[in-house]
Amino acid sequence: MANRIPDLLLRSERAISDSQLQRAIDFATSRLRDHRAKIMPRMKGWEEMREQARELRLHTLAHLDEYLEALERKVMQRGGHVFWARDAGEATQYIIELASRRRVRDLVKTKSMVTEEIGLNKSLEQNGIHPVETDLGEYIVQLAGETPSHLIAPAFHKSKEQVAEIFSRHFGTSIPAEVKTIMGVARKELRGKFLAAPMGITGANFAVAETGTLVLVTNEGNGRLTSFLPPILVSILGMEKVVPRLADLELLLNLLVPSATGQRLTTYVSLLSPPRGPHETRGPQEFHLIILDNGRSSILGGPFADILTCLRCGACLNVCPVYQKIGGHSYGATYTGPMGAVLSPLLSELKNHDSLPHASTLCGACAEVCPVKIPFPDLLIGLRQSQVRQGKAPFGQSLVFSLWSWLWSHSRRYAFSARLARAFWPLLGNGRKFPVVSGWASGRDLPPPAPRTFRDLWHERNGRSRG
Amino acid sequence: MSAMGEAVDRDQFIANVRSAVEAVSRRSHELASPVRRRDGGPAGEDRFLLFRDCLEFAGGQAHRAAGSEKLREILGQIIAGRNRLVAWGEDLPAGTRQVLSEFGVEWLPPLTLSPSNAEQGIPPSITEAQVGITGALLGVAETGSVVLASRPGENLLIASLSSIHVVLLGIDQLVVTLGDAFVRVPAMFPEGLPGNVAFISGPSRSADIEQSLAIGAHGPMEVHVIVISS
Amino acid sequence: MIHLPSGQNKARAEKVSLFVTCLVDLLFPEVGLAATRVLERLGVAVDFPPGQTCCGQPAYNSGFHRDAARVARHFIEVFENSGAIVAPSGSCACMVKEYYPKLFAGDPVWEGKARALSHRVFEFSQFLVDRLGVRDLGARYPGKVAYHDSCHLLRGLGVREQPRQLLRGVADLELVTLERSEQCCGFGGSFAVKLGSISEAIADEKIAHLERCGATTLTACDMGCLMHLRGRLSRRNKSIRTVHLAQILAGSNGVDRGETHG
Repeated sequence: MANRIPDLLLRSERAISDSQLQRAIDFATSRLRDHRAKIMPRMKGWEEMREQARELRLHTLAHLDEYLEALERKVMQRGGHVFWARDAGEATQYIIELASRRRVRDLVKTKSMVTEEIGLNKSLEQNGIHPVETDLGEYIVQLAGETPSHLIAPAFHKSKEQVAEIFSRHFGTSIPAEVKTIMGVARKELRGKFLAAPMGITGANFAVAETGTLVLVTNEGNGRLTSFLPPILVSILGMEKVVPRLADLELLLNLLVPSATGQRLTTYVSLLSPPRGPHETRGPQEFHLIILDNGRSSILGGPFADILTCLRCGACLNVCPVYQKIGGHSYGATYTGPMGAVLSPLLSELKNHDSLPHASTLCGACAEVCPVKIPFPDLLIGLRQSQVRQGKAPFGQSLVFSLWSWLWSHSRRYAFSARLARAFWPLLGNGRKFPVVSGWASGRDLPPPAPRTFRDLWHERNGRSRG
Repeated sequence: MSAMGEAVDRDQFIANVRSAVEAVSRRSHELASPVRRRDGGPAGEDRFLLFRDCLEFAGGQAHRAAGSEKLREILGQIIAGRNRLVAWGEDLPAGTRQVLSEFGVEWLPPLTLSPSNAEQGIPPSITEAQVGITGALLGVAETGSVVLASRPGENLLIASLSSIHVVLLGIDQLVVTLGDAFVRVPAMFPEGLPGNVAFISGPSRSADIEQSLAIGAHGPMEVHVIVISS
Repeated sequence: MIHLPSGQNKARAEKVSLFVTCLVDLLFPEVGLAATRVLERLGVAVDFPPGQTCCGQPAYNSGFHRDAARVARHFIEVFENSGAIVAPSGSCACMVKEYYPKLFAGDPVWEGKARALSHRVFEFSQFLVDRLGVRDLGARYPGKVAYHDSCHLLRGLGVREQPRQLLRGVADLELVTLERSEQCCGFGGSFAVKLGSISEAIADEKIAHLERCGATTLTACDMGCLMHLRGRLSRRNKSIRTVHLAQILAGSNGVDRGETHG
């Protein structure tokens, strides 16, 4: 179960040697980067907006109990049900029991990372309930029996030939590898599902406490069909996604969408305040909001709470040098890239994702693009530090750093260590057998210690007196 | 999952959250007034030009009809060769119904509002429509969006299910920013927001296969907004 | 013809303490000499506090903050009485400038000392351009040169144009545009060791960009990045040379061990 460095390395090496995957990652991330870069000139006052959004999100977290209770009141006033799920099990159990009571066998679902996080589809299937993913990317991933590889481009790792093959197999007919044709097949198939499904399940990009409104941000239109056509709607909300006021959405949408897809606004932004009101002929008649904790309250109020301000735009993935090489699946977690390297180990205490905070060069490109200014390098370093504090760091490493800091916090001991390294260099196979750096030497040449250090040369040049 | 058990779980859930946030100073982050990007922005025809530019950026098309004659001409171009036309008449700008009728539009009958009733089936005239015509609450210039609400709901069905969605909008219904819309829309519904308020910006799209943009994933493949002066 | 570097008058009044960094001291002393030569040629009085060791970044980034603080306290003691401190490394300068105050946050003694030091630390190119106002050092380096933006220098210290301005002042040097020059090289300190194969894959991408732009020399302001890329280039038998910016600015001759080292 544990996701250790060797496991991470193994999956990563497989991804690195898969040339089709490498091309796909490169193509998808560079496209998304380009789109973002192209919209930026239209976004006046971007830096100011980031700062304002960060403050708004931190304020919301500091008052999260109040905003969640306000949200609950509003939803219940409209006749919706609110269920508070402390973990994945409670959330899935609630949906399974609801579906059984309403005799639901087939349901439609929008793309939602939170449902991935709680393993909803698997639990539903085990109970004889068949969810159909209606986002094209998620649908592909579902038919392939896989998991999404990117926050906003879940199937980018599949070529159109591979997608055509998956579709051909599923529909038992030969489907050509043309995007338009494939999409037409999915449109026709899923249209029927939307119209027939007794229940729709969605996530939520935001939930407005002031009005009890959920916000769905999509491009395909599956979100609004899922939330509008079936008579029963179930929405799962990661509890940190609450927003104080309707008017705050302007700021958050103006940051989220350009960061995610480079659009000014996604094609569809649905403000849902279900169930349908007395003047409405359409829309769900029954609504259940599931507010999910699943580890979030243990992050809240702690040193890593900043990660709960994340809007799930995916911009950090697209600029991350590590993500660009290993892709989403190598992380072995629901949340990937820089945001996942922070969030995944914090969320899941059972599945140990301790390797993920190390899957970063700390280059800071993520923090630079983050629309809510999450200080990723600080959080990643902090997570590494807390591993050290908890005694989770490998013993050898702790020993090396203790010895190192003892030697290098003193100039004569430092000089001694330099002489020692030089003397033993040939014995260590010119660095190749040096235990600390063997991970280095397998693919890169290691420079030998200089015959004379800079300080030797300096003293020679300037005389000891000046030093 | 008894009601009693739920209440206990709920209280414990909230208590967990409360004790976590009380560990930090709540005052450290004050709630500022909602940030609204308001610089007045362009008015009149310039506002329409901004709207057109942004809607085109989103893949849709904006048209300007300063009179019935022009409206007829634009509709003629959009509708040419398509025969299954359906419209929801309630939110249309004044004076446009007559022109639409000339094109043989099928008007959806007003529905009886009975929320307790069993689900009313979706009429085939909507599911099979080639062109669906509706009004809108607002247009948002800087995003190229039109805003529709489920009052009563047939308008949203048309907007979701037809292949081509045509929106008729009065020029005075255009606002500049999203923030303007988030103020104007709730003001239209003092008794509370409708169940579904949809911001629609251009045609349905997906880039999920090899990042290549494809139009018409689940919704309309074309979105036309005709801005009218009365 | 004697080419007098600009900004020399301003420089004559300057005294700096060189923090040469552990990598340069132990593995690449020629870089330290080159930096010294450039500064001295401008008339700057250069001092080398001999007690110096390392900034402590390897331990800090790995989460061993007690060990990092031990080394950092030593650094602070050594440089406490210095004026301006110049380091030929964006990464180490950033560690002292940006991360020391975080490392010692809440410490009644050391936080203040760290903050006081923070204002006096400069990366080499930043010092030349921002503090001395130098652009042209009268150096000569024939060849097509690509510049790589080291992460801490670019995103930590906000230094983007300064090294480029200095390179544009070098005679016979053609500064070519390196695609995605701001993308990390994959070094990342302990990352390069812990997740070596990912680190190499990232380096390979940088190498691909380098080859595409036709550069014969790669330069940067950090020996961490350069050691990593040099090690990968030489393992893959590539002939692109790697030199620190200071070596280019010091002139192509007289670099003691030159780029053949390693």
